[in-house]
Amino acid sequence: MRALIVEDDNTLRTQIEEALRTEGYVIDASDNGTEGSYLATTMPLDIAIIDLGLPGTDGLQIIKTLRKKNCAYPVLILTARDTWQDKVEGLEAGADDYLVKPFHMQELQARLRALLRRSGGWSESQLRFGRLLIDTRTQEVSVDDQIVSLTAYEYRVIAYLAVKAGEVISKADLLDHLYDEQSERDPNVLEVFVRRLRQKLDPDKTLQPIETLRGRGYRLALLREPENNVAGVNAHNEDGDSQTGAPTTNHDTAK
Amino acid sequence: MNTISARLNKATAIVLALFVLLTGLSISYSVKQRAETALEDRLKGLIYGILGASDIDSNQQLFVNEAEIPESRLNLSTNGLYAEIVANTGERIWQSKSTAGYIPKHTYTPIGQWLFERIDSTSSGRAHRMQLSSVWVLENDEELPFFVQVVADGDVLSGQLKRFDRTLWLTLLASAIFLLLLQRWILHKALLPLRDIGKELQNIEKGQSEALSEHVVGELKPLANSINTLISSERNRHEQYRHLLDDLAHSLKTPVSVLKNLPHNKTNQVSDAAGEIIKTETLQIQDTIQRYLQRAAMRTPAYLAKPISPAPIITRLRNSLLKIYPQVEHIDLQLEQDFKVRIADTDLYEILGNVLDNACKHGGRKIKVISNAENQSIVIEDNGAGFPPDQIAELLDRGVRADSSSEGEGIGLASASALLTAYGGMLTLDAEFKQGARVVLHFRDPTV
Repeated sequence: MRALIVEDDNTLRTQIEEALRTEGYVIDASDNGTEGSYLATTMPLDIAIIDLGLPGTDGLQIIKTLRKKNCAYPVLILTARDTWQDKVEGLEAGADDYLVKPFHMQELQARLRALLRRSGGWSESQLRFGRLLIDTRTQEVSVDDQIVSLTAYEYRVIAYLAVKAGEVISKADLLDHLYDEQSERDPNVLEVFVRRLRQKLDPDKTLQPIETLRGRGYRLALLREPENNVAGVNAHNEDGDSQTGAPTTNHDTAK
Repeated sequence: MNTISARLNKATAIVLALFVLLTGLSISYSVKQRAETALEDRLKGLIYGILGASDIDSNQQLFVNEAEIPESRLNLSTNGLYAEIVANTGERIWQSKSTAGYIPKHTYTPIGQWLFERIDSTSSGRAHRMQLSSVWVLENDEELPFFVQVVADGDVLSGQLKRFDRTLWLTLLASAIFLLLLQRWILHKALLPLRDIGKELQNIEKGQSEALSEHVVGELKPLANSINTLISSERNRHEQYRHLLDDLAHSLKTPVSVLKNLPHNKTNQVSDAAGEIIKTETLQIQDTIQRYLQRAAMRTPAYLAKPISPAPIITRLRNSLLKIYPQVEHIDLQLEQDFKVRIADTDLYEILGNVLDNACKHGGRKIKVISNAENQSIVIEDNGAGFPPDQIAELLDRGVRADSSSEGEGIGLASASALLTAYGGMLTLDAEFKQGARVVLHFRDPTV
């Protein structure tokens, strides 16, 4: 997953970058609104974290600009302004969620996972495709309820294909979302990852999880299973409640 | 009563009473003077008439030809007007047929001198007499000094004056009463603009209007303008204070975020003990920021806030909440567009935002918001699990400190309740509502 972080506080931005990199995100980052706006509208992003008070173009303006340019990826506002008026303005500008400073990093990670799932039409942290189950919270993949041991890159490939289930993802797209600009981006390495994934997930060739469309890319070949919509569970806080210990306090104490 | 109206009425009544009294006395005195002058002139004329009817006969005796006397009453046996001519020796030379209640003795005065005086006799009442001391020169150059005296009973004059006085005082009293009533009416009309300003100020205080009307009488325009400027500058000052405090608080939040995440950062080798201290201290800073922000928010006097309609705010909140709570199917709004409340818009956002957020987060999938302008209330219902009856009081009693619960549930409600109470309203949780949860926001305290 490729995430943009626009935050003018260098220490906080670095903290977020580090935390998200450990989760397997590819990071684009900027400390000002002007560059942030450029990155937001030109990079193949999956999600953006945008601070509202920025030098140059302010955060709200970046969100308005990227939505105007038909960038549909989810946007999370990172703001010290925690009044409902500020939240409403941010959400009306095109943001999908907000996180009020000071926040726990786990809360931010949970919110991002929820937003990414929502953008793929999922409301729960577990994505089920018949025998294949991907838990975005624990980053575990299981087949027939047996956990399959995957490397970080292998997980990122299957998780990306799962979130974009049904869509054909080109190799270039996959590379964009798995590697940052500085990394060596070799399509052959990607093919190796996919082959290994197929071997690990489907050793007896009965599942056929990843379909190769010659000259076009890859697609998750499994059918998505309907979710159990449990009342009260929502994408806004389901991850955070159980994991961070205090994220809803952060949300609820937005006063 | 210590009012301008009462003071003016009292002052006017005293001035009017003095004026009526002095006018009455002055008129009464003038009329009396004039009546006496008229009587003096009349009696003088009568004396001239008697002298004109007098002559000296062949015996060198003075006589009066009564037929020539201009006043016929002197020739009748009536009472009230009497005339006589008395010789210097005291011998009465002539007297009229009529008589008077009291006839004084003549007074010696130099020849040619008039004497007019009022006589107050205890036995026969008041009378006026006019006397002229004169002399008749006989043919032998002998002089015959005599007095002509006319006496008029005073009853007639005093009776007339009494009647006049009675009429005068009655008329003045009636005029005074009429003038007092007129004055009260004029005062009432003249003080109407002041009363209007008073009512408008009350309306501003109650939150029913924003500023004093521009349509005031000329004299009060500077006052109205000054009051409006004062309200406006106070409003701006208050806004500025809030913004400054907000800026200060929010500028602290980014470094607090960094500190808060320091113990969890793998690249920073923070010991567990140090991590614990950082955690405790950052929580304390966070609490302090929240507490002071909340305190500042609650110090907005209602009259400084402009009347605003909750309808557009609720609509915006609904759209935002539906975005972040996809499990909420719909938020039905039944809002009266003309319903307005006097609360700073930021605070109204907080009250409504917190209550609606709680309904979305802990409530059901269907939420209904109904406003009632008559009761000045907004009802928020959801079809969720509702409030546990034994925790209802606790939910609102958690106080304004946001950290008083680690769970987060209900803090929004407690915060909304505290804010609403600061504006003279009240937040109630309906324990009787069994289909879910019902929160009622009373923007006017229903118990008052």
